[in-house]
Amino acid sequence: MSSDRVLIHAYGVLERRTGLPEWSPGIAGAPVHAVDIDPYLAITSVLPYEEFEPAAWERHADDGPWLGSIATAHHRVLQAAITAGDVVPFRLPSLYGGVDALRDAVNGQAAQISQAMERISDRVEWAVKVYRTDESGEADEESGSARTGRDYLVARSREQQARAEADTLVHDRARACYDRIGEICVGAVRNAPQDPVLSGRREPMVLNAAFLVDRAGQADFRGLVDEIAQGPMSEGLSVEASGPWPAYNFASMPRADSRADSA
Amino acid sequence: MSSPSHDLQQRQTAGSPTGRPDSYLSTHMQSQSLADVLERVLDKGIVIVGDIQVRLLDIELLTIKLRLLVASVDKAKEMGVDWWESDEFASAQSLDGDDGDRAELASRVKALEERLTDDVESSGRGKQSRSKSGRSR
Repeated sequence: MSSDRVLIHAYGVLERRTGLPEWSPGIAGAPVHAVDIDPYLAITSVLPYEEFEPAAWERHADDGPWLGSIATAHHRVLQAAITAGDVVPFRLPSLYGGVDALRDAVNGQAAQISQAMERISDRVEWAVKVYRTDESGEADEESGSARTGRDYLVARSREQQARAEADTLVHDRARACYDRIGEICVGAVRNAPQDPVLSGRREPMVLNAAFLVDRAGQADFRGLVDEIAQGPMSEGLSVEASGPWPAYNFASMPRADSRADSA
Repeated sequence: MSSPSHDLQQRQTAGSPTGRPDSYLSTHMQSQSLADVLERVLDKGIVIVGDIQVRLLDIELLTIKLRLLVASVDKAKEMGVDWWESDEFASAQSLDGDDGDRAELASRVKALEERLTDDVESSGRGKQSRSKSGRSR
């Protein structure tokens, strides 16, 4: 009945002193509008209510393509926005009943947003992923050729020990890369390494890090990553950077960096 | 209903989401995958609580489910098919690696589920009617 009813999706807020980028279509192909919410510009799209109301999210909760397309569109708009200026990205889902509700929400969290804006001012995010390329093949052959049960157990425990030592070495190296890169960055955070299915790579990911980098320092950042990638520091590792990203990892206060290497 | 999102996705996969003129070497940009995007968009950035979200408790639950998905192997394989078959969050235990993160997620999911259950019990309504009747304006 209320086919005209709409929702406002907010991608994030852009600092107002910058010019606007050329927006490509946003979520569901909707046009992107900047809405003035002093002192920012909220980046928004108007979406049809029926397709994006809360119940629609429930309906699509197991609909990968639906969610994937929203996430990708949200990201693309933010990616375009960082060419124009500093952007505080909003986490999905980010829906409001109307412009007034969005205005209230942004104003209600003005302090958090302004802290985030300050933190990421004139900075962008770069990702660095480190993969393990030294994967020593399955060592089971050795123990497979053992003659007695005792030989087998001894060989087996040696293998396990060697493997554990190799693992430690690899993780220490990855950690050293992370620390070294972090030295020239404003912020650094480690996220859970992605599974090969998600990374699309056979090699195990051992580091999934994000760095907050001064826009003016990106060349240095890339230079350092290349240097590390080609140098002895990353022996047995593949070090790869991607960016610049909107500063997703640094817009909210990063969680304590305690989980990645709890072992 | 599903065709616009399919079209959208195709357009998105066709064009690089990161085709910035000043972007780094193309080999580097290729690693900006859907997993990278999901990881960020669903788990990072500022949470701005809007009127719609306030009404829908399980929006956060949804986000957490998606985070689990991103961390999950079997289910991610089937992107868009069956991300989580049975809603059994306990199955998060079967995921390997990074237990601290998963444990944190699992406990948040549990807390949210309890809140949802309480909510449903106290109102004596199901999910759908709750989210409809929850509108205060």
